[in-house]
Amino acid sequence: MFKYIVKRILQAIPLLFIITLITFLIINLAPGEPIYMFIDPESAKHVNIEVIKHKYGLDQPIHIRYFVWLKGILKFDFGISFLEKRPVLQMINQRLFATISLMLVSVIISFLIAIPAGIVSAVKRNSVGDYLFSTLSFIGVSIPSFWFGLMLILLFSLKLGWLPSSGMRENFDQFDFVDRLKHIILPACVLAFGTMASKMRYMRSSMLEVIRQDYIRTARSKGLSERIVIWKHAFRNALLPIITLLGMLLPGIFGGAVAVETVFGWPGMGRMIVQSTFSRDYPVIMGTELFSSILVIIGSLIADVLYAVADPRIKYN
Amino acid sequence: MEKLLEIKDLKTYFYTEDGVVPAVDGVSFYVKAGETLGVVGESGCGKSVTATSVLRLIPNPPGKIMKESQITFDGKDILKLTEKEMRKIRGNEISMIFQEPMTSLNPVYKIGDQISEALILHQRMSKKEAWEKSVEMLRLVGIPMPEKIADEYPHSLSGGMRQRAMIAIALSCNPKLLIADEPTTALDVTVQAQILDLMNELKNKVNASIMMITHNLGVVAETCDRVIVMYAGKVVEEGDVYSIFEDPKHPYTIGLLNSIPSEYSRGKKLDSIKGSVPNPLNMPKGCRFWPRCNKAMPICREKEPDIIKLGEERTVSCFLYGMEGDAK
Amino acid sequence: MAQVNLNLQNQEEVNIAESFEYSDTFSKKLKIFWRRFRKHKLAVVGLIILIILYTSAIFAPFIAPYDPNGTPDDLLFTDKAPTFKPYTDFNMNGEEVVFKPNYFGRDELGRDVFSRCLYAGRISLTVGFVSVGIYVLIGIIWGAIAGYYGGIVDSIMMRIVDAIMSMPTMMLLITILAVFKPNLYNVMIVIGLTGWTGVARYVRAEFLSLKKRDFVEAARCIGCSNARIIFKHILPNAMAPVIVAATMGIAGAILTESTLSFFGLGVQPPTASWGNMLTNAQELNTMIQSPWKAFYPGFLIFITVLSFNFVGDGLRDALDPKLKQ
Repeated sequence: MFKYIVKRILQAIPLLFIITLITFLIINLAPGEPIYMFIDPESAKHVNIEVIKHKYGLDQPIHIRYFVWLKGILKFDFGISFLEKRPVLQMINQRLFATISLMLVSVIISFLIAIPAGIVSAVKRNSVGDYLFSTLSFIGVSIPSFWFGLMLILLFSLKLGWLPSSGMRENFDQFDFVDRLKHIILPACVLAFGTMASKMRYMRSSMLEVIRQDYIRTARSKGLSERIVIWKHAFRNALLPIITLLGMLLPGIFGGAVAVETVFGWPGMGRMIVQSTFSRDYPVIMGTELFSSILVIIGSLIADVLYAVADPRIKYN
Repeated sequence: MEKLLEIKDLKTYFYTEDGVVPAVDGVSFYVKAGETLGVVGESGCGKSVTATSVLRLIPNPPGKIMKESQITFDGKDILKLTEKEMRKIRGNEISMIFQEPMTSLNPVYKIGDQISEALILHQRMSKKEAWEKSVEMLRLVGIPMPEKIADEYPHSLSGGMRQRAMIAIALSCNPKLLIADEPTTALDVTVQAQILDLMNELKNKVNASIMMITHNLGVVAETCDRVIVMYAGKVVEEGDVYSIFEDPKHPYTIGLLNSIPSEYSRGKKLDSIKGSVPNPLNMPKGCRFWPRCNKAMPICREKEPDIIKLGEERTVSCFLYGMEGDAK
Repeated sequence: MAQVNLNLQNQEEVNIAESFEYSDTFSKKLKIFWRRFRKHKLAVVGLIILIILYTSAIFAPFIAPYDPNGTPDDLLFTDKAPTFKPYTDFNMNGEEVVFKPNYFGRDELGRDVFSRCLYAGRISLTVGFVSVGIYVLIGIIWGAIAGYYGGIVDSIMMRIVDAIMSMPTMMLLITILAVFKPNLYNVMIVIGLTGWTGVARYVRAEFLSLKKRDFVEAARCIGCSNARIIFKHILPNAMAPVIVAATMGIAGAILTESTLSFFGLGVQPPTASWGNMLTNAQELNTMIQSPWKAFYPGFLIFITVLSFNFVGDGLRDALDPKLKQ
């Protein structure tokens, strides 16, 4: 078990390395001088470019520059925003909670719907419910989340006036649970609907696999009711692989969050990266991209460790 | 001895996309209290489906037990019970052991919990009582350190140990009938004998009947009192274990017996039954065995043979016996 | 259990009876394929919708009632609601003329939304094919090399795939497009460059299982070169999942392009794409006053993507029954 976790952490290290390399290459392959990735082109007019280049080590060969840059990242130095003139990490930190809470709520919503739906689809295979859920999951993956968000705003905020369309306060100082709940419902539902489909299908096939197993027949032969056979014996076995699915879905959820945060004016990292593209605030864009990739890797690491804890089989392998 | 389980004209059909599969087609036999009945046949002959039909665990759809079938257990008409009443019988009065010990236990629950479950359900024990009884059952089936093993997950046990645990589950509620579906097939030869001995021993202890499903005639010789031989969804021969081995009647039974190595066959080429089990979607007309039978007669292709009573508890279903008189 | 065995046997027989044989002629394969595909009703509906959408995109100049980039007259009718009948009104020169109906209404510059949607369809429907074309090519080559050679080459190549897969694609795309210039071509290239990982994984997995099979051994024995074995002997056998993945990939690429264009990082105005038509529609008062501007382009994206996904699902059933759960 301990060995498994250590192994998993060791596997994550080359991934992080490759990710930093990709990010670095994007910066350096950009058209024009890479120096503008580090300093604001506006302020660069007034200074000697060569001096700046030397200051940032840009006169060095590319591989040395990479290691210098990597050293900065390892010290949590993601650069300084052109626009706000403060560390990128500080800006991310401010937005992190909003993004994480949105993702968390949406993941909970999607699981609450996808798991029972997937099980019902598997147990009552080829029933009306199965076809209904499968069609719904197709709609879920096909609907553009930004448009779905707009349509929900149109219906629930503008026509019916039930929920606010945006205007989530950026400072989270005043904590008003009801107000926050009202704000989070629509964006979380839109985000959940998009990611629900794969969870539902995965749950269905996982359950189909499990109910064919011999131990399910054993459970039935003991005289257990169908409810207990499905929701106790089959459920736990079918649920285990879903934990690792969460790790695989994280990149997609982050991506979905970008669109949803933009449409609903949610003060998270996704909206920040989109806004930064208009002001060409490269350090913020790159920092957010790198930071979210690292979060994904940590997230899937946690998912795999949870899986190892939850599945007794891992202990003996 | 009274009949504990009596099956009359059992028909279990599977309705697949490609047609109806008559996996069990008009099977009749009985199990007496305290005896061990062997059910023998090649794989795909309907042995397991018969056993699963008794517990009414045939997946429906596609499987269906036909209306004319009758299963009487301990005076109760099993096919007329409600699902709820049926559940009171499963695991309590009739329990079952399966072929694959490696996959028959739920990997995410502790052994002790899996035994306790039936006890809590049927015997209304408290969790603690059930756990203690589980440990006792594990000790009974010869598992060393039962207290520790009860607290383990199935994956820490070997195949033989898991089959013992399965037997512990099956016997925990003192069932009247134990259905063992190829209980030793997946085990090592040395472990096989241990498990069979254990079952014989425990059967006498709890005074249960056993329905031993197997394709292994060695297992039958070692454990059974009576034997029925099945072929392609039908019973072809029935008798006490001694007569079946010494004086087999049906060509299929004879073929089966000739295909096992014995001291008499040493140095000789073993016989085998030519061909294979017929496609269940396309059963031959007449006797289902005729395409593989070395004594087949024209009538075998035309009509299905009746069950001919040869003596007390001795029947065969073949035109070689009894029908000759009518033909002449 | 016996009944499971029985069912499996039957299933196998059916598969054998219906599977493509090496000796089958192309037309026979096509016939079997079509018979299976037809069973998937939603896939057939999807295919019909796609045919309609592509036809109308190709013939947009003949179908569109208005110039998608606007005429001087348009400015007189900003944000006009949809009409299904021709109407008479004054034009720029004060003459009373008959205007063609605006089925989807007009936008904030008075341009006909229906005509714009038709032309935008040309962009959106092309983006999917081009970017998926790029990534299928990269994915096949990458996966084939990794799966065929195995060992350390495979490990390194697949680590890179894992790394790209764990980067949130949308963030990566935004970063690349912000650094390079956002325009139609860059969008197609960038989606192609980031999307190949899934295909690479499929192809690699197929290669790992196929390269051990007898016919590959046989090819090696008669002295075929590595490249020949990869492209002539293994690849054709690995195509079914790739075709399915590509079809669903087109759906994903259209969705991604429209999202990027919506952010302003994709196709740049005045060129219309379904995504950037929604950019201006997201202001709240526009949404209340002229919801048609937001509804129709988004609905077209949705229908197109949904159709591609249905067709992909149908293809999976038809090409590779093993994959069907």
